[in-house]
Order: sequence, then structure tokens, then C-alpha cells
Amino acid sequence: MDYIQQLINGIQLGSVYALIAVGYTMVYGVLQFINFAHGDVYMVGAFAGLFTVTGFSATSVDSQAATVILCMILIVAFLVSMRGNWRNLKAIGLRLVGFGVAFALSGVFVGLLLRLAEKFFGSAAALGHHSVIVGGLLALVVSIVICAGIGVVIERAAYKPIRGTGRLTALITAIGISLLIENGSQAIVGARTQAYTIGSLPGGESLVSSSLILHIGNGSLQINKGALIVLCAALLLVTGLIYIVRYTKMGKAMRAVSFDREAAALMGINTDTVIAFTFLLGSALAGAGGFLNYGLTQFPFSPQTGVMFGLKAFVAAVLGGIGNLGGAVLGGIIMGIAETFVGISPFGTYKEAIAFVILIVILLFRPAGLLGKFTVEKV
Amino acid sequence: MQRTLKQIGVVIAVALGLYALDAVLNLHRNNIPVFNPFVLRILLLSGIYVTMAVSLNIVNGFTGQFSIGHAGFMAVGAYVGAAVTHLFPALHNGLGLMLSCIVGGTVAAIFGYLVGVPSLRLRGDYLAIVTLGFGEIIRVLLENTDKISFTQYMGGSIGFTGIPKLTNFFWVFGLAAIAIALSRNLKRSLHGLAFLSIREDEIAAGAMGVNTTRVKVTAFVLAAFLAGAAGSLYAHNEAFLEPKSFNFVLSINIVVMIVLGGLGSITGAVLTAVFFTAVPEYLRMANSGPIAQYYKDEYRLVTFALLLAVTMLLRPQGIFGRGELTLFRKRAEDIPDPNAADAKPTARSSVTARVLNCAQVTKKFGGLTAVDGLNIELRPGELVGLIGPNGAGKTTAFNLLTGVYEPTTGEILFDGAQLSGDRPTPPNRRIALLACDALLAGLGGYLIGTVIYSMPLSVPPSEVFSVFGMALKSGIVWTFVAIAIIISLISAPRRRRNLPGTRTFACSNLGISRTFQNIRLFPELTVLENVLVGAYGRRKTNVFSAMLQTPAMFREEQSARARARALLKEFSLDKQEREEARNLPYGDQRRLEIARALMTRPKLLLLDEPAAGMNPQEKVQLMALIRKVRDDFDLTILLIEHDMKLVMGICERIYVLDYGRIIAEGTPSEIRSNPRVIAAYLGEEMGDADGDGVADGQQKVSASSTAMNPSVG
Repeated sequence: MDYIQQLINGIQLGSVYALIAVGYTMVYGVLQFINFAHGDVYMVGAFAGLFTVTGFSATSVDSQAATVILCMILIVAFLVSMRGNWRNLKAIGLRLVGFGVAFALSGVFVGLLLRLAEKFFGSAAALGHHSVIVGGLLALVVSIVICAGIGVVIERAAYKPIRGTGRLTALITAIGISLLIENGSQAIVGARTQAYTIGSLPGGESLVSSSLILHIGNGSLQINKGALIVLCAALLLVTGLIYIVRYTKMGKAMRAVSFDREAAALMGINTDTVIAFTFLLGSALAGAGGFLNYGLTQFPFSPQTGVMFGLKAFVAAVLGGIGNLGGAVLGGIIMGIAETFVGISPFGTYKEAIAFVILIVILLFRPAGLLGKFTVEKV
Repeated sequence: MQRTLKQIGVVIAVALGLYALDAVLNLHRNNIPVFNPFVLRILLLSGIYVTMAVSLNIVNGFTGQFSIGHAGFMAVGAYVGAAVTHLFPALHNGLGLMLSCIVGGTVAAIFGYLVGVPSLRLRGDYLAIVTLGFGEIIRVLLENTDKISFTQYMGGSIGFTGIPKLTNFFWVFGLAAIAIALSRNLKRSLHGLAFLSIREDEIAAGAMGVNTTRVKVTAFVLAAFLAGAAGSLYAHNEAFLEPKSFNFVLSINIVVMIVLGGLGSITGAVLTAVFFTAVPEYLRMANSGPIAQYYKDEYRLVTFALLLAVTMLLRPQGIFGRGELTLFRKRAEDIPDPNAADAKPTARSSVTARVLNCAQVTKKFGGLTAVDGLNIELRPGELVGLIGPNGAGKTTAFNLLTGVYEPTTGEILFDGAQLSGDRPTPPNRRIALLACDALLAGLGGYLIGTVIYSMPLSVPPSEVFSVFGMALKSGIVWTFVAIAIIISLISAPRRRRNLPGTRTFACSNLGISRTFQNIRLFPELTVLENVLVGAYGRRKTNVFSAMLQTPAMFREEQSARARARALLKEFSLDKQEREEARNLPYGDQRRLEIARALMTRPKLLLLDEPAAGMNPQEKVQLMALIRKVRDDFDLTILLIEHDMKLVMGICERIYVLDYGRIIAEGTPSEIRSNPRVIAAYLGEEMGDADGDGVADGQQKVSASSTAMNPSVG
């Protein structure tokens, strides 16, 4: 019975991996590059959930650091917007004035935004305390909206300008964005490990510690309710995504772009919109995963968590066959189960390495993944 | 001889110089504060990271692969090197440090080989992920060292303490100098060109005789060795190691260095390595300085991240691009070589009746049969055309002949050697492979079985490896072993019934060379370098002699250069030899591709639409050139072309391919009048109308021989 319990835990973890892996696989399908920042978007989702559920009571936000980082980004945006065009003094002057105003306002804005956010999250948290379901749903929606926004901004600001300049450029940019989000948020919320939960159920019992007990024959099976909810929600979201990709017009456009971007553009598809939509969908699911995996299970997390979790999710996508949505889900669940079972064996301290062992084995024997097709490059 | 003496002289001078500097800088150890220890530490760390960056540059810059787990190799070298001096206290001296560097480097190189072989077969970003994963695996293993009795002294996640502080200026900068010299020599040599050609175009590199997998693994192993040696120096510098210092951030730091410096530029790697080691160390002082309350260490990393993004947006090639800063601008290639004039190949030794023999070669892609029962025979010295409508399978036929694809059925014989087809593995080898498979499967089963068997047991982490012994007595484990072995034996007939087909580079080395339908030159190499890559497959010296610039290597390179120049002259491209290939006009690029193919000393040359995109005048010149090449180089030529005037003008024999089948074969005049060919080109009705007589057909084709051009080409 213990094994069945662990199996369910494994599937629950795997369903979160699947949520992240579909984002990797979709972006890879459309743009053929690994969006390294995806794991960090997932981490932002976890923090968005934290703030919605607890307001600002549990974690302090360093508004000074936020201002500094915003200013750094603004300076970089100014440099990039010049694009080496330093002769035209008038343009430089105008831009300088514009960015100077933005520079000055950013300090005010960060303070204002934080105050507003504090208000919003504070009241949301108060609302959540009255009802777990409302609180949970609210946190889920906030995570999804924030992460979807971040995904689209990253795509537009960083990936779109370098599109078509080679895979290596894209990969390095993605690593840069990942470092930016990771260290930026670490400067703002601190490197401390956090854990939270969406409070107690109507009966007064905590969601994390309460279990559904099934009696089968002589034995009984305990299933953690939080884990069960995570599993169901993740599967629902992935099903929704697959519905969008398979049966809607936008999904059809996404598939067309993934087959041949130029041909799709010639057929009247606005590829930029489609790519942005792909990022929006992927990041939304990552955000949802971030809230679900931490808000309902009380696992600890920190700004550093996203990178490793994201990489494991990417391995799950490779395991299932990169570019294949069903494969990403299958790969994620296999990965979750494998990790859970290694975790309870005496080899538990090697748990973190199992994902990469799986990766090397799969690349040795089936480089295209479980459900993928291997294509020979055309000569 | 003189060169060798000069090289030895330089090495000795550098060593003495470093030793003298070391003697000066080391004074602080005798409590004489001549030199600031803070600055010395930064200096030593810079030297170590210079080695790291230069070695990673060999993989990421030269071969264009993308490894982001370099810290893993450094960690292996550091721990192994520190273990050497920990276990043998007699080695607490300079010699011991050198030994620990060599041992650490070698172990790291072995790891590099094990990681490289599975992942470098694949193209794309997989290597990045695998190397990253490798770095993490190493970190997890190191964190668990305290739970295994014979590695307990490494301290697991607490850290490896008590490492003797042996590292000094001499060894750090000696290693850095070695790394720089090796990679500089490599970059200039024929081997280095092979590295660069993989970065430019992997398929074309294969077709020029470069064993791409092997070259990539060589680069990877070399980089791992240098990183391991640097790791050992790092261990003996810090006197303390902990697994988490070799994390993803360290790997990324090294990547940032070489990307900002310019991927492929050794100068860039050195300068950015020094900069990015020194600046953070000075910034760290800000933590305690007057601005400490406003400063956070994360800002540094945010700045790194933004620098990366900005570099990619504004100057993707990095600060130095691929260029180098050199003090002595003497080019080895400009020294004329008196006894290197064998531009023409030696006469073919084995003159067989058939150069090439394809028998019933079929290639299926899923349900589509691209080539169906192809039979082609080429006699030595023939100039044969392969024509057919678009999509007839002509290029697929070329790809089969050059090992890009392996035929589904049928066999290809070239010059007496069997390239592909029914080549059963010899029985003794098959048994050995089977035994090897069964053993591996059994071990895998044992491993999985042990993990499952051990799950309900409560074994303390320190005893974890004892479960392997305990598992020997349990039925579960043996069931798993038996199942694994049975699976491996049952599936054995499905694997390796045949030897795999000859791969592209091996076909090239046997003497089949080709050009490509859409030109595949190495765009960012110069014209001369493009041609020189063709000499790689016929080289005799190995990669070590290239790194050490031995006289044999030097001579070989001189003669290769002379031959390449002679070839370029023949193709009247010698004026543009310093030009990058991508800047040449289209017709020149086509001719350069032929010259490059000839550099491999082929016996059979496959030309894939050599006249595509040329104007009528260039086509006439090309015809003369192809004839001349055939006569001068004693070649057999098979060419695909849509331009009927060209094909009919120079080919002695023509094969016509349609829907993957040969529908006609014969001299140009025979083909011109063949009703099936006319039907294939002009549609079925024409062929039906032609049923009554030959005269009718001839009349039609003579009228349409000009009309064919627009309809097909």
C-alpha cells in the first residue's frame, strides 16, 4: 500500500513536471530553441501564489533593490535602443530625455506599484482566509496572469530582436534572461527558502496534512488531499492546452508555424502573434505549476529553485520526445515517479541526479524520445 | 630542425621567466609583505580561469558545440587532484602538484570521453543539456562522498579540508601558457581547420572526410583535460573544496567569459577571463565599504545577465569576434615551400573494370520509395550524367553513394570495397557483441533490481552500498537480471544483422567526393581554408603533433597549402584566397566547391547540379572545366544536371531516373530519342503519341531540346 501511496505522490510531482514540460516542448516546436528562462517563470509563479495567499506578511520585499534593478534594465534598454547609432545627436538627446524621465519615475513607480500590490495582495489574502477555494482559485489566476505577462514580455523584449540570428545566440540570450530573473528576484525577495499553504479546509483541518483514506481489503490507502488537487488541476490544465492546440484556430496556426514558419507566414498567419501566444500559453501553465506545486503541498522553495526544476522538466520533455505535447506529459509523469521512488530508496541522496541519468540513457538509446520521430537533416 | 630548436628555446624562456616572477611574488610567504596577498590571490585565480576559458573555447568556439557544464570537469580534476596529495603526503611539493594536475586532468578527460561519446553524436542543443546534467550529477556524487567509506575524507557536502596549499604563480601561469599555446597551434593547423569546419557546416565537413564525431570528442576530451588540470590547481590554491562551489553559476561564468570575448577568439577568452575574475573580487570589497548598505551581491549577477543579453543584441560575435591580437604578425603560410609541387594526384593504383557498382539499391522514407532498385555502373574515367524530373530521386541517389543515407536494401561497391549492403557481422564478433549486450543488460537489471529490493529496507545512508551485496541473495534482483538478459537476447536478432553502412567521412576517404545542390561551403572560412579542409582526410599526422607543431606536421601542412594554391590557380580563384567564402559571387562559390572536392584526391567525383544559377556563358566555361578536371585528375565523374545542353554536350553516357527508377540508359543521342524519357519529361500523352516510330520521336525531341530547358531547369 505504501508503494501505491508513493506512486500517487510520484504522479503528482510528475503532473507538475508535465505542466512545465509542455511549455518547453511548445517553444521548441515553434522556434527550435530551449527557453532556459522557463524554469524561472515557474519560480515567479510560486512567488505570485505566495504573495496572493499570505499578502506581504511572510516575505518582505526590498523596494530599493527593485528600483536599482529596474534602473539597470532601463539603462540597458536605452543602450540597445540606440543600436550603435551614436552620430545622430538629436535622437540621442530625445532618447536620453525619455529614458531620464522613465529613470526618475521608475523609483516612484516601484514604490507606488508595491504599495498597490501590497493592498491588493493583502485584501486577496484576507479574502482567501475566508474560503480556501476562493483563495486557491484567486492565487491560481494571479499566478497564471502574472506569468503569462512575463512570458510575453520576455519574448517581445529579448527573443524577438534576435530571431533568425542563429541558435547559439538564442540559447545564450535565454541563459542571460534566466540569470536576470533568478538574481533579480533574489535581490528583491531574498535568498531565503520559503514555504506556505493556502490555509485550512472548512472543517478546520489543514489541506497539507489531511488525507483521503480508502479501505481496500485489509489495508487502507492514504492519499494526501493537497497532492490529489494538484494532480487533478494539472491534468485539467494540460487537457485544456491540448484542446487549444488541437481544435482551435490559434492551435492550428501554432502547428503550422512549427512545421514551417515561412510557409505559414505566406499563408497569412501572423507568426509573431502566434509565437507570442505560444509563450503566453507555456508561461501561463508554468505559473499555474508554480502555485500548485508549492501552495498546496508546503514544499520549500527559493528564487534558485526554478532553474533546476525547469531543467528536470526539460529532460522530461526530451524523454517524451521534444516537440510532442503528449510526450511531454508522459515524460513528466515518468520523471516524477522515478524521482519519487529513488527518493524513498536508500539511494535517496542521489535523487537530484536521477533526471540527468535518465537524460543520458535516453540520448544513448532513443535520441528522439519515447514518442518523437527522428528526422535526418536534409542535404 | 631550426624550428624545433626555436620552439624549445621559447618554452625554456617562458618557463624561466615565470619561475623568476614566481620567486619575486612568493616573498610574502616568508612573512615579507612584498606583494599584496589579495592581489596575488586574484592573479592566481585569473590564471586558473584563463585556462578554463581557453579550454572551453576549444569546444564552444572552435567546433561550435555548446557545453555549459565545464565546472563539472573542473570539480572532477579538483577532487581527484586533491585526493592524490591527500593520500600521498610525500607529494607535498611542486612535483606532486604537477602529478596531481596530470592525474586530475586525465580523470576529467575520461569523464569527458564518457559524456562526449553519447551526446556529441547528436546535433543541436542536446550537448548543452547533457553537459549541464553532467555537472549536476558530479555535484550530487561529490555531496555523497562522505557516505562511502573509501572517499570519506572528501567530506561530502561539508567540504574537503586540509588540502596542502601548493599552487603558485609558476604552475598556474605555466598551465595557462600551455593551454594558450596548444589552442593557438591547433587553430592554425589542418586539425584546427577540421574543428572549424564542423562549426561552419557539419554535413559538408563530413563529406570532406572529417570524422565529425571523432573530432568533436577529441575537442571535448582535450577541454576536459585542461579543465581538470586547472581544477587541481584551484584545489591546491584554496586548500578547501566544497561541492556547491562547482555549481551551474560557475559554468555559466566561464561561458559568459568566452561569449563576451568572442567565441573562437583565444585573445578574447584570456582578456575576459582576467576581467571577470578580478572585477567581482574587487566588487566584493563593496560589501564592507561605505556603500555596503546599498550594495547587494546579486547586482553583480544581474549585471552579468544584462551584459550577456546586450552582447547578443548588439554584438553577437563578442568583443573580438573570431579575431586574435598578435604581436608578431608572421604568417607561416607565406613561407614558400620549394619541394611541394605535386598538385596532380598520383596515378590510380587499382584499375578495376568498374569504379562504382550499385546493385538494386532501394531507399524508403517511411512509405515513400525515393530510390527503387537503382542499378548504376561506372567505368574508370567515364563522365556520366544522371538526369530526371524534379523529385525523381537524383539527390537521394547521391546521398546513398556518399553515405549520408544508408540504403534500405541493395548494395554499393566502390573500387572493390563494399560501402553498404548485405555485410553480415563475422560470427565471432557477433558473439562478442551479444555477450557484451547480455552483460550490460544483466548489470542494468541488477541495478534496478537492487534499488527496488532496497526500498522497503531501512538502510542508513552510510551503509547504502552494502545493499548491493545483500541484494545478491534476493530473488527479486535475480528475476530482474534474468528478465533483462532475456530481453537483450530476444531483441538481439533485430540489431546488428549487418555492419552499418560506411559513413560519409569514410566514403570521402575511400575516394568519393561530392558537391552539393545548394552550395555548402564553410561560409566564414577563407577560400584557401575551405580548400585546405579537403586535405584533412589524407593527413598522416595526429592531433598532438598539430598542437606541438612538429616538423612532420609542418611539412605536411606546407605541401597541403601548395596543393590547395595550385588547385585554386587552376580554378582561377587564387586572387581571392583570403576572401571569406560567403562573400564570393555565386559562380565562384560553385567552382570553389568543386576545387574543395578535388582536394580530397577523389577517384569518383559527384557533381550535384554544378550549373544551377549560372548564366549561359558561365555554363560553357563550366563544361570545359569539367572535361579538363576529368582528364587532368584522372577521375570518374557522375553529374546531376537539369541543363540538357550541358548534359548532352559533355556526358558520354546518361542515366535517366524517374520516380526512383532508372527508365533509360545510353549515349546522349540514344537518350534524346528514347520515348520513355520524352514521356517522363513532357507528359504521358507525348509518349503515347510516339508509339508508331522512332523518326517521330526524334523529330519531337530535336524540336524540344531547347524547350526542355525552361520546363525543367
